[in-house]
Amino acid sequence: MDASPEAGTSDASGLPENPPGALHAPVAIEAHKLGIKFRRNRIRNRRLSDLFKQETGRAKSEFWALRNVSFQITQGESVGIIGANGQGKSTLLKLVAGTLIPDEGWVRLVGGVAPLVNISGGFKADLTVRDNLHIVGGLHGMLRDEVEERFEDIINFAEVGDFVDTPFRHLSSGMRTRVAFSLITSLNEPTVIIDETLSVGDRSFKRKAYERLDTMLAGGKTLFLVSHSERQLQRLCTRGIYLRRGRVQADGDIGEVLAQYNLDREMEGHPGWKGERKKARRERRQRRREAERLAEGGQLPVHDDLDEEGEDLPETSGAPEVRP
Amino acid sequence: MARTRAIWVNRRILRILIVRDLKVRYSDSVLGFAWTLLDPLLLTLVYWFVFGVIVARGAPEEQPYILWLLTGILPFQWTAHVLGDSGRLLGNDAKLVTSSSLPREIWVLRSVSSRFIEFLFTLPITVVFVLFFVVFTDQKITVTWWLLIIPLAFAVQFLFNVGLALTLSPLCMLYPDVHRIVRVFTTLYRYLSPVIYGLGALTLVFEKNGWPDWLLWVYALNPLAGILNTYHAVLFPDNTSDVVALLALATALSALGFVIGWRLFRRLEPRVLKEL
Repeated sequence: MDASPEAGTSDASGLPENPPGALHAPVAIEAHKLGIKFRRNRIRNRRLSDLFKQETGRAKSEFWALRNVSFQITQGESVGIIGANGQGKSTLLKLVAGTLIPDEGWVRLVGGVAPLVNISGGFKADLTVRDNLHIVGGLHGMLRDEVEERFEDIINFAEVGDFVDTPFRHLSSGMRTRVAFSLITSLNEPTVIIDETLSVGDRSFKRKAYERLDTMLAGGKTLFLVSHSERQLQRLCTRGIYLRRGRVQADGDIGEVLAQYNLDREMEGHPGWKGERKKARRERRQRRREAERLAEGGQLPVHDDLDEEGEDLPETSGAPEVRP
Repeated sequence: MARTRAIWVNRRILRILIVRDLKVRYSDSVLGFAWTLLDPLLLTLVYWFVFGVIVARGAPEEQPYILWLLTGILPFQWTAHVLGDSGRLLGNDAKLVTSSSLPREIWVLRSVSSRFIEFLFTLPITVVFVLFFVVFTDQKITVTWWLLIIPLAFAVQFLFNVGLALTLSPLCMLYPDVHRIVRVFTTLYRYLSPVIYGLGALTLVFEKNGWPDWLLWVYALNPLAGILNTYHAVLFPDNTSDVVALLALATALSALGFVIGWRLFRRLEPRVLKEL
């Protein structure tokens, strides 16, 4: 479908970008001079004549979110995409998942993909958990028998055994994500794509989720992960691709790439850099105000660090949420 | 070609989506499935009261008028629903559309197909009314051989609807005005198509007023004219126009519309995805 190298890429010099040795390993994801542009202004001041033009002119209102992005990921590799906000990470993920179509270049995926990207997207609130699992599983290419076969596992893993015939909208949001996560990770696809916004329930479930990802990785799956969390990246990935301003800034061992990224961040976050200083001051002020407010109310400020994976912490999760 | 194959490969998913549509539509209301029947039935009754009783369209070849209305309104509702869907069919399920890399035409086919099945469910209404008139009244009802051509008319209307939805759904996403225009147009369209009147009656009006003949052909450029004319011909052969010629014209125009829609959809797809 989107595997066709487009004629628009005129560069035919074909320099091998990988060492010869790497060519023998089977490729899972390959991107070639990938580029996509967006409009800067949110107001859609399009003209009808645009319909009949190629998307070339009027370049001022457009910007390239990604350009000239090339990489090759071999099967079984786990790759983390690193970069500050707005540097094209999620866009790259969508291009790889095939939910965006590039304006330049191409991306090729060998085999299917299990996308952990807005995972509960396909679920319909009005249908029961059972119906939803069949339908969404089917949408992602599972056969009816496969869903039946894994049904128990999915339900047990998501810890929603009593709610199989409850309409999806009666589930708590934590349960919903758990069901979705459980289903998508049950897909037998060779590549798993994970968005940074993946937050799956309380700490104990989070641990389970990581264990499952570990198992999948050990089973030879390819992982393509977008994250801000250094711990998550260190833990799951062996290779990092560092995106900066829509281009690949670095590509290599996760530790080295992270180090370079942090170095860049530090440079940009240097007190000499105006925007960062202002932001830091604003945040400090906000934190202080928050603490004062809480202190007045007799409450202690609570640190919510659920976004980070808290493996080393003892399990302190409260009772699982139940909303009939 | 690769695209067509991709859609074919995913036909199972298309079926799942259609089933889901039908399930969702009826899972939440008390009357459930009954709404499929009640909706067009109530609409027909209103039209019957306004045009059959108050305005009293008297042409004898349109009697019983309620049957005439049913044979027009039911299929017209199919197209009307597709038009109504086209504004949302990519946007409404944006999360679903962006969570998979299925060929996006699937979402169009899904809307047209599930509306088609809904339309098929409403057909028994007509059958019941025909039986009613045959059994309880002495009105003469004849079912003509045109009945055999009905599957073809379904196919042509399907093609026409797909063309419409392929054209309008991306346009509605990119230009919100289009959605509004479509909504207004749908109402207008109901009167511009032979729903409450027949092409036979229309021809007579043209003759009486001395309007030029070519204007009638301009009218027939609306594929629904030829399609609805065919449905009407089954029970009301006297109030129709040249069935074969008009259906052939409708087929050609629907095919043209489909090709245009197919290409436009492909061309606008990258931009639509950026908007979702």
